[in-house]
Amino acid sequence: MAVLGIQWRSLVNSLRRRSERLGLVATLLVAVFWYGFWLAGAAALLAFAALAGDERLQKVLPGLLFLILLYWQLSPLLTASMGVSIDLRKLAPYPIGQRTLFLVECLLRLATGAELALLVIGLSCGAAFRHPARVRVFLPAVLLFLLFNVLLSAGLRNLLERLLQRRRLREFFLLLVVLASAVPQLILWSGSAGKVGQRLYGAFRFLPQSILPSTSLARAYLGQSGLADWLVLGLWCAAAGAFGIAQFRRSLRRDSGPSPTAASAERGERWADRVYSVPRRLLPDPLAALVEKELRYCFRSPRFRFLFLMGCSFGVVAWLPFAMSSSGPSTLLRSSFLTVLSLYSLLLSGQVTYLNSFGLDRSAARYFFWMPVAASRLLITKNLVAGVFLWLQVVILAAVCRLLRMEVGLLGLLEALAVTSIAALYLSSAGNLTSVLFASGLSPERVSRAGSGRGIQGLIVLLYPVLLAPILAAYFARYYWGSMSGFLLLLAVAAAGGAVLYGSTLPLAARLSFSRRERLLEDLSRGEGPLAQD
Amino acid sequence: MTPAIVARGLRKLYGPKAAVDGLDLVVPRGCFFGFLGPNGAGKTTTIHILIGLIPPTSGEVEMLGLPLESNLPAIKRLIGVVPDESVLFDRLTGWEFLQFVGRMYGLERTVAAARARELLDLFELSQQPRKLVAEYSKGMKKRAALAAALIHRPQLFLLDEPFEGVDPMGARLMKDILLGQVRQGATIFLTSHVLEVVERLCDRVAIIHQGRIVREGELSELRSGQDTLEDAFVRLVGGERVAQNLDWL
Repeated sequence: MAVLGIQWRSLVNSLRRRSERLGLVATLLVAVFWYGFWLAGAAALLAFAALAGDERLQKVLPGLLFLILLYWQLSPLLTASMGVSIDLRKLAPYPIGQRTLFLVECLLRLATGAELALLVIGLSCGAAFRHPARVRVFLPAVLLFLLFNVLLSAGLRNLLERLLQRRRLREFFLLLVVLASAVPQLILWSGSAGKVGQRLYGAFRFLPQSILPSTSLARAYLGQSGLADWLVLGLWCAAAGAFGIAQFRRSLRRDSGPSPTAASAERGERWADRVYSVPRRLLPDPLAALVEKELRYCFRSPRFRFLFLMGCSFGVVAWLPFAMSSSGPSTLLRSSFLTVLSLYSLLLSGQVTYLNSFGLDRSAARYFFWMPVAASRLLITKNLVAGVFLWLQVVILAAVCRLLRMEVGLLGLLEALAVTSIAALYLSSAGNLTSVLFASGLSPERVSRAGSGRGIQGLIVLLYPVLLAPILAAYFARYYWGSMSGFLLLLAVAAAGGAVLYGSTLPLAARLSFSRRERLLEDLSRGEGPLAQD
Repeated sequence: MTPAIVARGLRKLYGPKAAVDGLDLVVPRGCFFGFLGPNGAGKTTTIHILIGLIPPTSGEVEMLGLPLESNLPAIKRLIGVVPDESVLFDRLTGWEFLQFVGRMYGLERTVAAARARELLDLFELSQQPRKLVAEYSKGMKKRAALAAALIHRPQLFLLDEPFEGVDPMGARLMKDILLGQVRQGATIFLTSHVLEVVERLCDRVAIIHQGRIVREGELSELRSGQDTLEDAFVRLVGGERVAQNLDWL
């Protein structure tokens, strides 16, 4: 209770600040959309469980519950987001028992899987409506099923978190994430969704049904549960509990030791010194020194590397099936595939580059305020480095597209570079202001932790369509009116508008960074409570 | 010659509470100045105001003869800062960090690189050249921070608890270097809780309590008779109360 109390107190204290309150509003907006979606799903399941025929229920329920189980356990891997967790480093010095900490961890896992719990509750309400007398039978089974999921997700989360701290394994997991998330889309793209669905169902039927916890719960809903089902649920819970506790203890031991990633970050990096020294050949100091520092800093931050690689890989997988479809808007997507990918990677990297550009510097940002460097020059440097990463990503994406035999010529590459550069102007204009107004320190080593945090990112995502409207207008002219010259003209107008916007917001952001320097540095230095959002 | 630091009527309010409350201070050039006070007295706030990190609510500051507000960029070039916390750019190696700071202060690249290497050797930080600052111990970070403050040979140093967490050998080395800088004409403004260090290094001292200077003068003036600096300090800030006995303690 004390741990949760401290976290609650941290939250209440932070909400005294206006920027935090704004962030909370944004978070609430996003939460309403997200949980509204899952609530609708729960209502649909309620109706299904209450009204569907017995035979249909018997056929669908085991598979449906198995899908819920799979999604609960695999979603952290697919989204590289592991939800709220205990920051063990902060709690290690206190005499808090491991059991208590594990209990808190389990409660947090339940909170993270709340949407899946909602679905199960929806099903349970439907089943209760259908056969009120069965509630006493299936309710304990539902609780055991939820407990099993919570314990298993606690174990998997701790295992995954530790694996993601290892450099090579992190990259391997990234690949796994990309491949795993690609599978459904590739199936859809191949047009064999029905066939694959049947095969998967066949494979699921091939699994020994009697030992699956989801099947045992389904049997409880249907009033068919026997001693074996209770035994299955109990054994799965015990196994998940043992696994969860073991993994949690290993994380606990690891978290009290030195960070492994910082030590390994430097090994084998000598070759990169040549890359880092390029700016000093092209630019005068202090610009070159700043760019060089930013390059080193970003590439040595696992968090940045993760997002950079995601930008180079995930977008391709996510958008490829749409581009390969033979009709509808896919023609548009196919002809500007590289541009779409580049814009997507621009949005993805925003949390560590332009939206919260001092985030990785954290408290060290104060050096910028006592060293003789103008704030505007500093912001330009940050944007310049973001631009360099962006162009590098576009080139890598072009190479990936070529490998996939997509049509990406020199013109396509130039279009992608031009459009993303213009988009970067708009996003950097907003980003320079958010970097100053809503700064928050980012741990460079936590690859999965949410970026600028406090919901500001959600707010910015809502602003993306507005910021990118001039570019969208140019594409509208190209595809709706079929006018290439109209497209180029509108793109030039968008570029000019972006330049004007950037030019006018930069001095404002620089002024704000100076006038709000005290608050800015405080925001960047501020520690979090004992819980951390991943 | 104008003083190194002049503060007049300096105030910094946080809501109704004054962290610094009408502070008047003169630090002569070439002086090793000790700025003492209990926790929360306003030492760090004062340093943060002097280096332009936070704006004062009211009052005026002159640094090296220049009004702070209108000459901040020029003043920044002339001062060296060691912050209270070990907040360095921790994803750089020690050498990269030092030469980055040097170049930011306008040193030629070759000069910055050479000085960075020499300072690393001097502060015994060069044994593992590829080690990131993030992997440094607290004492190593303090030494790196002092090296960074020295690299552009500033005229005025503002050091906030520079010896905290530093081992005796490192502290001795840092003291020798700082005394050498004073001999060469630099001014040092130092805050420290370790009164023995202040007694050994400083020639002038100011004691701040609840945001106000309660005593300022030559070290010898503060130590009257058999009193040590600690005695004088405790007497001035009212810390002579007897600890209450807690029955559970």
